[in-house]
Amino acid sequence: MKIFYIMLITASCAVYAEDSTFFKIREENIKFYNYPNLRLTISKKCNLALQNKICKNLSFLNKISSNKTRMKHPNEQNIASTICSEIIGGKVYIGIDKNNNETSFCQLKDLSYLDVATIGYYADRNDGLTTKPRRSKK
Amino acid sequence: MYLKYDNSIMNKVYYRKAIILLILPSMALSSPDFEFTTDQACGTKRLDLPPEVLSTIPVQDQDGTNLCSAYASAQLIDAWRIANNPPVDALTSPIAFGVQYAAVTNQSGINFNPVLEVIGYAKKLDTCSYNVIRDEFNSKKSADFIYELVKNYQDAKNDSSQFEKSAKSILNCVLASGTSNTIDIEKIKKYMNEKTWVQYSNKIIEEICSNHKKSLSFLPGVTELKAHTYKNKTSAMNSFKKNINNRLDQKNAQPIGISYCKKVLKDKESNGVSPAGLLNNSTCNNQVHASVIVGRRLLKYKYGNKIETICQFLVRDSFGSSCNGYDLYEPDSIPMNTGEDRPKICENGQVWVDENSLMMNTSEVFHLKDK
Repeated sequence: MKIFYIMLITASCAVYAEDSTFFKIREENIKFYNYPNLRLTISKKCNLALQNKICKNLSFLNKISSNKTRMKHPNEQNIASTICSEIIGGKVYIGIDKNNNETSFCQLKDLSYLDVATIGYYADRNDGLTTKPRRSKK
Repeated sequence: MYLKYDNSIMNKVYYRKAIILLILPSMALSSPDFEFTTDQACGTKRLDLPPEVLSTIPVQDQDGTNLCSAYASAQLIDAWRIANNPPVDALTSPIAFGVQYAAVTNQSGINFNPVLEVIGYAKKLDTCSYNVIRDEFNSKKSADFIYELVKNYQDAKNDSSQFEKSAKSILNCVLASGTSNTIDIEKIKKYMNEKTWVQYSNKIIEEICSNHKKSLSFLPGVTELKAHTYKNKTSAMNSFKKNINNRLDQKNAQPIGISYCKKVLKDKESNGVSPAGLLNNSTCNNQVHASVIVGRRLLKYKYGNKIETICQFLVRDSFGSSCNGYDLYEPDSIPMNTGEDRPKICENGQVWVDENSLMMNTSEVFHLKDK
């Protein structure tokens, strides 16, 4: 039983694993929290264990889809960015990390910044597009 | 309703740990009968890590600009400049490059252009400082910068009473950036009489870049391979692979550009290029794209009860450095060596793709010639 609890705690830690990083957006250095297992990067701490308000506000991610947006903008190359502005009602900004790499973020109504790639991931997942194993020996 | 976890990941994380802890000791006692094959031709190569050339060129985000060809071209151009024409005091702005290309070729808008045409034109264009353009729009998304210019132009065209206001607005914007000391209101009014917003935007960008540009006339020619010129798709794929591997194996290797169907980044079974070697919106479900190949590795994966290996290319996309758009791992991949982590699908916004899958979706391979 003790081993089971140890395993449970270890697994929980892996799920809630979090690290942080900084991006410069509009001349301001902003701290971001990464939750790799959730494919989530956001500027406000989402306490998953306690399911705080920030996490609850992200529940829209479970419903977003890219299908309608793709039909409306067939030639748009970054559909997640368009979902941010047209479906979520956010505004996209480019963030720059310490190595000058760029990443686009969607500023939500509560003024937090959410990684645009997170939006793309959940839209694809909800539309059934996930990484599949190889079907044949190449 | 709370944010739902990705069940496949959650369950795997939890159960995998449990299964490993319980089964590992018994596995050690009875070694499995795996077949293992190696591919000697697929040595690891990373152009994005020091000391290689792309380690000094950041991953960029084209956002909603549809300028992927210009972003891929800028990466090739800057990698070549750093290796062959130093010192490089400023990287190339893909936005300035893309708008200039569209203006010089008399296009009415900025859409996907075959990269070969864009990079082939580079010698006649300039490189404008990446930072100058980025500072100009001050962390606004790239598309906003272009839309601002478009709106500015259209407001002035549609409503003559807005002409003065639009001109002043853009003048203030350029003056505030401190990048041009030659611009004035009369010049902007003159530019507003250009026939298209592309020409107008190009004039404004030229002003912003006036003190921060260099001619690219020193660039060499472009080596280009086009799938539709081969007798069939298989011979094109083999030729592409050979060319890419040869380039990657060179000392001081340079990145290789590709025009391809972006679907393959998430779907190994995608077949976005027609049997005749053509790539367009109908063959590729509107996901025509351009990127650069910057690395190679051998991936180990489980197929039935066997362990197989497959060669993968690393594709540097132009949608930023985030990897959140992709799963962490492929479901069938395993660590290359005992004690190592499973290899990730995406690193710093760059995506590992099976070489054959990528080639099935590639219509053009191109790179700048050696000096």
